[in-house]
Amino acid sequence: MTWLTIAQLLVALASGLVSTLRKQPGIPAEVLADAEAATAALQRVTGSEVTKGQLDALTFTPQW
Amino acid sequence: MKNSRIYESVILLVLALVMLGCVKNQAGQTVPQPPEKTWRDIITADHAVLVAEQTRRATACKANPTASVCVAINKAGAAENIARDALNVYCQFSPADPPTKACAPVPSALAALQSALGQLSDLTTQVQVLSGATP
Repeated sequence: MTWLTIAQLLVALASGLVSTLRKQPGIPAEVLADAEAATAALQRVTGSEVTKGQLDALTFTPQW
Repeated sequence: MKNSRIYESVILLVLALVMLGCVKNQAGQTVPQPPEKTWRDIITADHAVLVAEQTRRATACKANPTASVCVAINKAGAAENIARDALNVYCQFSPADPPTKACAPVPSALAALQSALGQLSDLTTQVQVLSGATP
């Protein structure tokens, strides 16, 4: 698994978490802000568009 | 125990991807994201499942590569590569393109892509069933 794939998975998880947190009452604003900032930083790493490089990272190599 | 943790993570990942399937526009309304993003995310999630299983079973499968789960992992992996290639065609990517080139969808490639994704989904489910997890 390449760093790009790991980053994409983290973006997916972080975006889902932020979306869930937003719907919960009583979550402190600074916690939401931190979560959104972290997600935005991850998205900058992986890019919001589908690119050739992202697909190249999705290669399965048989090990046996 | 370790096995169940892997599947809990996969379930969480799938839920996150479902939530990621919709994005908010500037007016705050939820709109579907471009389909190629959803398809990329589906392939990424299946890739994670297959690589996790491949890593977990490496020793056993190298010793006995004809075991059903070992064969299923490689079949699903081949389906993953086919789905990725179909998405490459849909996005008009060629091997010479730079990694930063963005997807330019070709609607005529849609049927082949959907068929490849269906195959990948079926084979990944088969790997999960053979591994003792309910998908």
